[in-house]
Amino acid sequence: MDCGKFKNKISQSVGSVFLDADEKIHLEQCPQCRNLYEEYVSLERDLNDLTIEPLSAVEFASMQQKLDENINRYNRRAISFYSLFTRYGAGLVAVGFLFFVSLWSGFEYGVYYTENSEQSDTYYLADNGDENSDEDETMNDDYIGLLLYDYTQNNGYNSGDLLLGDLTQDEFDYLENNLDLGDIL
Amino acid sequence: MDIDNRELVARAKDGDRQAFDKLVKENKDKMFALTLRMTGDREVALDLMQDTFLTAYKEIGSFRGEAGFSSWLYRIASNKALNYLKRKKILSFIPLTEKTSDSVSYEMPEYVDGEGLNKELALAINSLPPKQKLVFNLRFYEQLPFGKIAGILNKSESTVKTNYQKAIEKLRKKLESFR
Repeated sequence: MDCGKFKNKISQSVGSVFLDADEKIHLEQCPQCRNLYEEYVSLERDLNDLTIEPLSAVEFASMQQKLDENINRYNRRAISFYSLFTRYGAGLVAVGFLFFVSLWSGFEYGVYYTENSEQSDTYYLADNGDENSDEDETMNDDYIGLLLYDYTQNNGYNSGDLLLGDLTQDEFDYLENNLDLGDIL
Repeated sequence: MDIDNRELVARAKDGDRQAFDKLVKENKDKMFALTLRMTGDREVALDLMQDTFLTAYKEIGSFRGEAGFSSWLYRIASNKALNYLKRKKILSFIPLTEKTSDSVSYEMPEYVDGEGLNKELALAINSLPPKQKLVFNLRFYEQLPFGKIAGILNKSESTVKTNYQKAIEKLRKKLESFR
């Protein structure tokens, strides 16, 4: 063991000095370390003499009283915050709920609108050549318009009333349901 | 933390005032000794101790129980004491009255009576930098292991050991010059 290590260990263990066998041998062989060790032991003794007067019952009672007062004040403040919340919190919750409902209904409307738009788009897409679509779905305004255009081109401008006689029942039903007066001619 | 203490802390966390008061009684002497040795003033020590327990009451919900309850209290008390010393140091720089050049001196702690070596030793401890003084008090007087002090101060064990060595070396040199 060298002096540096010994000094390091001793200065850290003032207050609970314990020497192992190696350190005891070093202490016997090294007068410098022995002097240092004696100084530390003396310091330890002097520091231990520096006692404090313990906390008296009166001091503790006074501290406890002050602590109780502060704890009660803290608890009252916490309770008053709770009562404030219960008084005005209900209103806040109601406003929040209404806000949420208004947001949600707007959202629902948006979904509905989009879904309908998508249906409409799908309908027209089906018209434009989807083989799996139903026959009814193939009839739209463009189809009827084309039909009427061909017919009037072939049969004269005022031949609309003849058209009705040549239509299939499905075509006739579609016209009746979808065209307004004046749309044809 | 022993089982009884753990149970007391759990009850105090649930708002049981009797359990909290029991914890206060169990730790009062340790907290008082630390705050008194740090500040050297009984009134201030009592105030800091009261403040430590009040903070513990308010924050007990955040105590996770990884370290012991007393270690947690030591941490609160240490911070309060360090803050007090910092404030005091700042205030000492504000010249409220005309000071003479030799008025910068360390106060004699109240707990020391008598003259001679005790007085010199007390003054030497009081003149240590606050963190060294804290480590010294926790290690020497409170007999806490370095690892625990490191946990309380949120520092590495080697930093704590270095602080302690420096404090001891300063005290030894002061006494050497006195003798």
